Amino acid sequence: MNWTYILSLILFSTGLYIALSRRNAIVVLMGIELMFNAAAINFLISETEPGEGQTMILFILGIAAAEAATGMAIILNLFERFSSIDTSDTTLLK
Amino acid sequence: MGDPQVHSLLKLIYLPVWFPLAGIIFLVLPSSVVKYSSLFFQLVALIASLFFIQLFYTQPYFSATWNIPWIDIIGFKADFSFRLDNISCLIAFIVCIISFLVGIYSCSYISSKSEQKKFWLFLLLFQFSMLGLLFSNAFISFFLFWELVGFSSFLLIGFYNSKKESGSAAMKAFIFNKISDLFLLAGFIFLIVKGDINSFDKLSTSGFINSSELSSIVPYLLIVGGLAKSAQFPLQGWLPHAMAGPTPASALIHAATMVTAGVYLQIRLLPVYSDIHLIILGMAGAFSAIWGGFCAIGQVEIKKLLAFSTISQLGLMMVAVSTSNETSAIVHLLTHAFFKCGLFLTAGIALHYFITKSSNENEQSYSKFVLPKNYRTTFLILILILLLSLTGIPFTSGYISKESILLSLLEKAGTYDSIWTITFILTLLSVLLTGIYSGRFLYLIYSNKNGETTSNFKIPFQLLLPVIICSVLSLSVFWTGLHILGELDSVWFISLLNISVPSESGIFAIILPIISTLLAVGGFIVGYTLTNRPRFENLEYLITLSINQFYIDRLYSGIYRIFSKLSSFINIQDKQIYIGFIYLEKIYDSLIYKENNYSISAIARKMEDTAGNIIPSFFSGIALIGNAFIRILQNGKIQTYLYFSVILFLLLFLLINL
Repeated sequence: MNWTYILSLILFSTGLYIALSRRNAIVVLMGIELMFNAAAINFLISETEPGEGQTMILFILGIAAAEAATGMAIILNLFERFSSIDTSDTTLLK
Repeated sequence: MGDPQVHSLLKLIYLPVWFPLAGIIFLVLPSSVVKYSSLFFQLVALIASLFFIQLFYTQPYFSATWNIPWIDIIGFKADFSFRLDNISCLIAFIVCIISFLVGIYSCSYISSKSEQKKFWLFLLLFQFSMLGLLFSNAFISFFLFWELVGFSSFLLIGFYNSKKESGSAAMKAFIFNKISDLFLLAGFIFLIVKGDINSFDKLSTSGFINSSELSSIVPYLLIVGGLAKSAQFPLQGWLPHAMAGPTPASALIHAATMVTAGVYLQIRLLPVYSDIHLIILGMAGAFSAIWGGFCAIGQVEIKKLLAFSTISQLGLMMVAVSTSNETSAIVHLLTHAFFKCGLFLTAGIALHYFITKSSNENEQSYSKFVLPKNYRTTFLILILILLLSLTGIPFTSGYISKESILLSLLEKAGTYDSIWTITFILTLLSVLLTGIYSGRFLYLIYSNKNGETTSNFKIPFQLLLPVIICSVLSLSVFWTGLHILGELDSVWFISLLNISVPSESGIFAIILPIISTLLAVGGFIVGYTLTNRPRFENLEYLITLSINQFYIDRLYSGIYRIFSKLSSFINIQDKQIYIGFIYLEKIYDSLIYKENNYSISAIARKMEDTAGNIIPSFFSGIALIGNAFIRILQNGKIQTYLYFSVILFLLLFLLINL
């Protein structure tokens, strides 16, 4: 049992909790980033060949950057439409 | 001296790169101390660079590389690799000294306390990344610093972020640089992946030109990659607009150091190029030299005039690189750094203090400068020294570099293609143009004698000192080696560079300096006397052409407009036709029923109506009951949905593992 899995587990659950419970959309985004990092750590510790995990991490970093950019764009649009970034205000999806 | 590894690591610590970085860290200090701490670190960086230059004096052919492992994945290895050699150390010295001078200058130029910290942050970031770029050996780390340099230049152009034009100028610079950077990155990737070359020092040793697969495309990518940073044709349009930034930043970045990064890159990449590529590089340089010189003549804003002159001088450097005589390129880089920085700093003083009260502060135009009486002589001497260096008149530093560029071009023109002759003639013409716009610059600043002079005010010494040092440096380069015509070896930094200087013997070596000097002096006189004369008005169309920069910017925006028109046209077609296909049936219906109004939205609305009628009441009853239940779950918050999906996923997971 690799103890680093515990670290990634803690990171992931913290991220999930933040993403599900927080009302501020930016904090939700931060939670999602935490989950990304947990996934990245998982890749790093479960690599079978040296270098494999690093490669995946590079990809994850790229995706995380793209995700952050998209997320911020969404939040901006959210603010333009609802003039708030509180997630409890955006209940149009009924 | 002990373990060599330890010894080299010790030297790595002395590398001037780190001191600006330390300066950035010390920006957390209160803002009254910040300028002293930053200046201190710049001074230390300058001393460190002098230390390395001294090192090259004692060990002429010394060069060293240090690898710091960074990324190591199967098949791909990127190190932070630093390389010390005479070229990088000399240019690092230029960067350090110009940064230090600009630092002194901006202590008094950036007066507002709140802006000071921001300015120092950007300035030190720039210095750090520029020094990193110079010492980088591996392509990946070079590209990293290259992007950082572009980014800090973007920050400094947009320094006055409340003004709209400085924001758009910053964007323009960034986009132009990005286009070029993509080519550079592609070239590097080709070299790393296909050629298995990942650093500059491997480039010189491996037989690159033999592999035809790479040499067919990579050199072109790399040539284009260096163009935008050095504002060469056709990616030159950003530099004149970059003058929206504060003047000290323009002096440092867009005149003396950053724009020479492209030249430095091409010097490093010389082993890649064969004759045909060098011809292309030379043509691009010569054309930019002509273009910049011509556009500078028409300008009324002195900073823009200097910007175009920078484009022209950078073109000359590119030409020098293309003759594969990197010495003259570096010499011109060095001398140009001093006199152009000095001219920019003078322009900054002029825009601050010499503008007549009646004129609009924002409009830096025509003969609105009045030199105060107590500074008139001082400034005439300073400006004349700097301008004569720019025109390359004997006994100034510009003369050495310009002459050596022309001589090496002449050597090429004599032996190789006829295209070299064209390049040579274009370069000679740009010497004439340099004379003309230098004369015009003097006219713009100095000519206006009558006008209200705010009598006896004091220009702060911090502003004056860097200009004086710049002009002293631009003179002293000539005299340090007791320079004699055609013998460059004795000048201190040329003996440092250890590269042979073109020694063209024969009649041309004597005639050429005379011709070019005559051209420059003639141009200077013409520029000074003919500006603002009625006789000049016959050439009005040329001036308009020059002011509008040959309409190249218009051309670019025209191309942009064509594409945006095209895309909006396609967008409309897309909406009409694609949606039309979706509702084809309905359109058909509405045609049959001869309804007049068959716009898309009307059809969509009609579809919803019919759907409402079709659903039988039985189903709608179920729907109503379900609705009440689902209403609780479907509260519209995305997080609730996510929550349920997580629970569902966990349940599924449990189910599978049971």
